[in-house]
Amino acid sequence: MHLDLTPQERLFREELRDWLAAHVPRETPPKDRFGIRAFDMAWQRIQYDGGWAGIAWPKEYGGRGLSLVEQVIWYEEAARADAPDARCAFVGLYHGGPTLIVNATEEQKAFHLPKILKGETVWCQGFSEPGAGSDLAGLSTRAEIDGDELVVTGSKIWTSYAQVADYQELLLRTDPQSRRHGGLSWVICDMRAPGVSVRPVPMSNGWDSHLNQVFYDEVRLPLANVVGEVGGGWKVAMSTLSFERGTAFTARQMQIAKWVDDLIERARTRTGPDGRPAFGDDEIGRRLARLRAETAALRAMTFAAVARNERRQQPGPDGSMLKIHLARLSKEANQIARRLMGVDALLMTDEMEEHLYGFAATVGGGTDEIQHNIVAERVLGLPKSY
Amino acid sequence: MDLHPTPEHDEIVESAAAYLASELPAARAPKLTEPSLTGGEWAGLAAMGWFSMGLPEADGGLGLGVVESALVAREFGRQLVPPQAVATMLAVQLAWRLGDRELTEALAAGAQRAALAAPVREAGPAGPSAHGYRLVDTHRADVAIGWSHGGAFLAPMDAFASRVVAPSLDAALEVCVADGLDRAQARWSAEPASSFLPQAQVLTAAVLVGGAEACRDLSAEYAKTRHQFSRPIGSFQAIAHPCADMAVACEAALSCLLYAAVCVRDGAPERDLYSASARSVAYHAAYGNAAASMQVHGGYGQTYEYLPHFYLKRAMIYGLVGGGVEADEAAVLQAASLT
Ligand SMILES: Cc1cc2nc3c(=O)[nH]c(=O)nc-3n(C[C@H](O)[C@H](O)[C@H](O)COP(=O)(O)OP(=O)(O)OC[C@H]3O[C@@H](n4cnc5c(N)ncnc54)[C@H](O)[C@@H]3O)c2cc1C
Repeated sequence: MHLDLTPQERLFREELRDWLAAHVPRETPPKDRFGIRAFDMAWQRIQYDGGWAGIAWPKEYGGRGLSLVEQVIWYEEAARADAPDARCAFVGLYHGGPTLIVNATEEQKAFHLPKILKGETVWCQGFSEPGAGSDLAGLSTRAEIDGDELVVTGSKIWTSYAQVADYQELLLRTDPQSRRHGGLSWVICDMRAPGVSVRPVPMSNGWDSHLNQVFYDEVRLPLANVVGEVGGGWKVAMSTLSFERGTAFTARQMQIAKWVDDLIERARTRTGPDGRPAFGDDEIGRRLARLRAETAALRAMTFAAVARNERRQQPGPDGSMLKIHLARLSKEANQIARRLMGVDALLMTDEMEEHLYGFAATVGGGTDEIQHNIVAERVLGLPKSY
Repeated sequence: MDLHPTPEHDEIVESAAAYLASELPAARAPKLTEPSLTGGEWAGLAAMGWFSMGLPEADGGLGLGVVESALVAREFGRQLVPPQAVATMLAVQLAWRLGDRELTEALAAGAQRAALAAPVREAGPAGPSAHGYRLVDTHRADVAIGWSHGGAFLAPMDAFASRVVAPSLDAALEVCVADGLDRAQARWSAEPASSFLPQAQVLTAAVLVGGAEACRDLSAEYAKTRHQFSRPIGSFQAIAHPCADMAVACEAALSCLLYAAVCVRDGAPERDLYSASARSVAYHAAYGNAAASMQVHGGYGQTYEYLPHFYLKRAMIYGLVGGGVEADEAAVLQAASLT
C-alpha cells in the first residue's frame, strides 16, 4: 500500500498536464444535439490524435495499453483542466467499448473499438423499456431469427443521445419461449438501419437531446452483430452494467472535488441577501466542509476500486457503492450550489439546467434503490428483498 | 381546542377543489403554450370570490379570514395554479392595510393581477431596495408584491426602470429580471406594525402544503400502479417508506399550517412562532416530497411531461420569495426565545 507514482506515472501526469493546457477546447459546448455531437467528437479526435484516447484500452485497437491508475490520472487531470464531459461519447468509451473488449469477437472489436477512440462513432444504450427499467429482465423488445438476420420489433426508452448515435447496445429477447434472464441477446444495432425511429423526451430542465424513445419496426440486423452467445445476452449485459456502475463514473468522481472547491470559493466571495458572504452562514460552511471531506473519501475509494479492478477482468458489485456515494455527494453539492445561487435559482441558467439534471443521478445507470439492493445482497449477502 | 375544519371550511375546500379540478387541473402545466393564466381563466378565479374573500364585508369582501384563504391557497398549490393567484390574494391584504381603496378593489375584483417580487438584497428599514429583482409570473401582471421581515411593498410593474423577460425556471411561468425600482411609486408597509408578514407566511405555507400533498398522492398512486418484477413498486419498502414519509411531512405541515392560521386570525401570542414555523415546515415538506416523488417515478420523474418537477420548481419559488425560508427560520429562533 503506497501513494507513490512510478516514474512512468509521474512522467505521464506531467506530459498530460502540458498537453491538456494546450489542447482543452475553451469555447462553450453547444446545446443542440447535432452541435453536441460535433463538439464531443471533435474533442475525442483531438485526444486520439494527441495519443491520449483509450489510456487503458489494448494497443491493437488504438488504445495506449496503460494501467487503470494512468486512466484515473487522466480523469483527474482532465477535471483539473476543465476538459469537456464525454457526454455523447460516454457510452462508447465507458461501457460499450469495455463490454466489447471483454465479450466481442475479433472482427467486432477490430471494426468498432478504433472508431470509438477516434471520435468517429457515437454509441447509445438500448436497455430500458417503458415497462422494464429496474426490472431489466422483464424486457419485451424481441427479434426473430431469419436466416443470418435478426428482425427486431419493440421499443426502448431513456436512450441518451439516440438521435445522434450510430450504434446501440441493444438488449432484446431472441428466444420467444424464454422468460426473464434466459433467451436474451446483446446486439450491436445500427441506428441508421431502416425501421429505427427516435422520439425525443424532454427533461425537467428543458433538454431534449438527452432522453429519447426508440422504436424498432421490423429492423433487420445481421446475426453477426450479436455480442457473446445468441441467448447469452444477460451475461454480456451484466458485464456492461458492471462497467456502467463500476468505472463509467470515474471521470465524474474526479470532477466532484473540483466542483466542491469551486463552491467553497464561491461561498467565500458571493454574498447572500443580507450582504454577507455565504460562508459566514454556519450551515453552509459546515455542509461544505463535510462535503469536501466526503469527496476526499470518494477519491480514496476510487483508488481502492482501481487497485481491485487491476486484479480482475471487470468490476464487481462493490462498484455500486461508488455509484451510491457519488450520487449522494453530487446531490449535496447540488443543494449547496442552489443555496449559493440565491434568487437566481428562479432563472433557467446553465447552472440551473445542470442542477435539475442532477436529480437524475439517483436514477440513470440504475436507481439508487437498486444499487442498495445490489450492495445488500451481493456485497453483504443479505437475503433477496424481492 | 379543536383543529378540525368546520362544515363551512369543508364546503370552501370542496368547492375550490371541484372548481380547480375541472377548470385549472395541474395536468395542464406541461402542455401550456402561453405562460400563466388567460384572461378567461383569471376572470374565473376572480368570480369565485377568492381574491376578495379575506376583506371585511363592508369593504366588498366575504368577511372570511386567513383560515379560509389558507384553505383555498392550499388547493391552488395542489393544482399548480400560477403564483399570481396567491400573490393577488396577498396584494389585496397589503393594499387594504395601506389604505389604498382603489387598488384594493381593483385587485379584489381581478381587474389587476399581482406578480411575486424576489429581491437580491433584503429590504432595509426604510423600504425596498432600488436594485436587483427577479419577478415571478409577470405575464399580464399589473403590480409586483414583495415582502421580507422588515416590511412589504406593492409597486406597479412600470415602477421598474428595466424589466427583461428571462428564461424561467418554471417554463409555465414568465420571469423577469428587473432593476431600478422607483421607490416613490412603491407603497411600503413596515413590520411589525402592518402584521402583513404572518399572513404572507401562512398563505405561502398553504400553497406549499397543497404541493406537498399532491406529490404524496401522485407518488402513492404511481407506487400502486407501476409494476416491476411482477409486482407494484409500492410493495418494495424502498418505495413504500418514502411514500409514508411524504404522508408524515404532509401531516406535520398541514397541522402546523392550520394552527398558524388560527393564531394569525386570533392574534394569539404564539403567532410569530407558528407562522414562521408553518412556512419552514411547509417548504421542506413540499420540496422534499417533490424530490422524493421524482425518485419514485424513476425515469418518468425526470421528464417534463410528468408533474413532480413542477411541484419542485414551485417549492423553490415559494421558498425564495418573502426574504427566503432561511429568514423565517431565523425568525423561528427569535420567536422561540421570546415565548
Ligand atoms: C438521465 C437518464 C439517462 C438514462 N440513460 C439511459 C440509456 O442511455 N439507456 C438505457 O437503457 N436506460 C437509460 N436510463 C434509464 C434508467 O436506467 C432507468 O430509468 C432506471 O433503470 C429505472 O427504471 P425506470 O425508469 O423504469 O423506473 P422503475 O424501474 O419503474 O422504478 C420506479 C421506482 O421504483 C423503484 N424500484 C423498482 N424496483 C425496485 C426494487 N426491486 N426495490 C426497490 N425499489 C425498486 C426504483 O428505484 C424507482 O425509484 C436513463 C435514465 C435517466 C434518468
